[in-house]
Amino acid sequence: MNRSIAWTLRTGIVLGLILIVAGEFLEEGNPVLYYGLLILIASPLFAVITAFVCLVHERDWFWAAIASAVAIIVSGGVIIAMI
Amino acid sequence: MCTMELLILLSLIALGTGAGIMGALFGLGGGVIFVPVLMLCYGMSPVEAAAVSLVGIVAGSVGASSVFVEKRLANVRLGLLLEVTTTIGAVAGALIAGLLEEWILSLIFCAVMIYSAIRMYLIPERVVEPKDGKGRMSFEYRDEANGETIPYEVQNVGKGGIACVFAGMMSSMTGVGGGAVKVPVMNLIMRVPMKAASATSSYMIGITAFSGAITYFFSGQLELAFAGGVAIGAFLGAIAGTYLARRISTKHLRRYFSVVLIIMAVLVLLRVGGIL
Repeated sequence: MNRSIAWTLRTGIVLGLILIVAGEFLEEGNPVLYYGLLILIASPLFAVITAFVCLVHERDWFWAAIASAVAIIVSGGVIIAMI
Repeated sequence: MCTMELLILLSLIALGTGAGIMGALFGLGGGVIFVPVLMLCYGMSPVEAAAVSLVGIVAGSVGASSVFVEKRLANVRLGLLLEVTTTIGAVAGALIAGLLEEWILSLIFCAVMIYSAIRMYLIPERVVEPKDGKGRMSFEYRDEANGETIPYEVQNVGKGGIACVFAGMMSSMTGVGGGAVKVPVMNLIMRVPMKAASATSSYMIGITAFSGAITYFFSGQLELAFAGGVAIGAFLGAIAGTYLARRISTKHLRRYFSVVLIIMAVLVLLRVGGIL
């Protein structure tokens, strides 16, 4: 599980930063910076979802329930804030 | 990009680097430093500064956690559990924030930070080893400073959970990140080794900051170019911070953390007094 979460986080930060660095040097208003930041910001949520999937795969139901609660609370908070 | 823009970008990267090191070493988001600096030096409004600060916190947390989680320094299970209670506290805090004066809350927050700092400075760390078998709250990590595997059993889960509700409430009511409370709660109450506590907090602050950052992002209140610069710096700082955190001794980490807590308390007091 730890490796999968670390891999998810690493993918998010590397991909996000490549786009952010590229976006900083392109002309103003380009979408590259926008999507780089979006990928970077969303990485923690993807990591929580990865943790949930791994815990379900390990049949570790107690901790899978905790991970799902975090994912629901965090996603729910964002949806409410956006409404 | 002109020279002036390049200089601003480099200064933002430097700011992010400092906060990234703090986050990775001590499990603190660094919002208490980010926000006033962005407002004073870059002329940002409080909302704009908070939005950029949250992106920096996410970047630092993701960068540090990608190392800490793989090395098992960050306790993902414990982090997720405490994230639930912290979020409940944050929601409760947001609901009752209008009922209490901010300066009173900030003073309570400072008192808690100073008390935690003194205890962490003076009292040696106490870690409980798992007795037999592998319980739900038994974990271990490898301390690269001395090459030893450190087993530990998390104690007082109920008390720690309630304390994290308080941390979430304080965080949402005062605007100061919860890491300053969560690390002492894990270390002093739940008997989690300091290195694991700060790494776990570093993992948690990214999840906490995500909600705020994504909300600002979609509402269009995020200054993208500024956020990008801070994110680059925070990542670089996080990499340096994880290198230091893995090699520093627990005793020194606790002492430095205590000093940082006192500095944070002073910064909050200056803000309450209208000086910052």
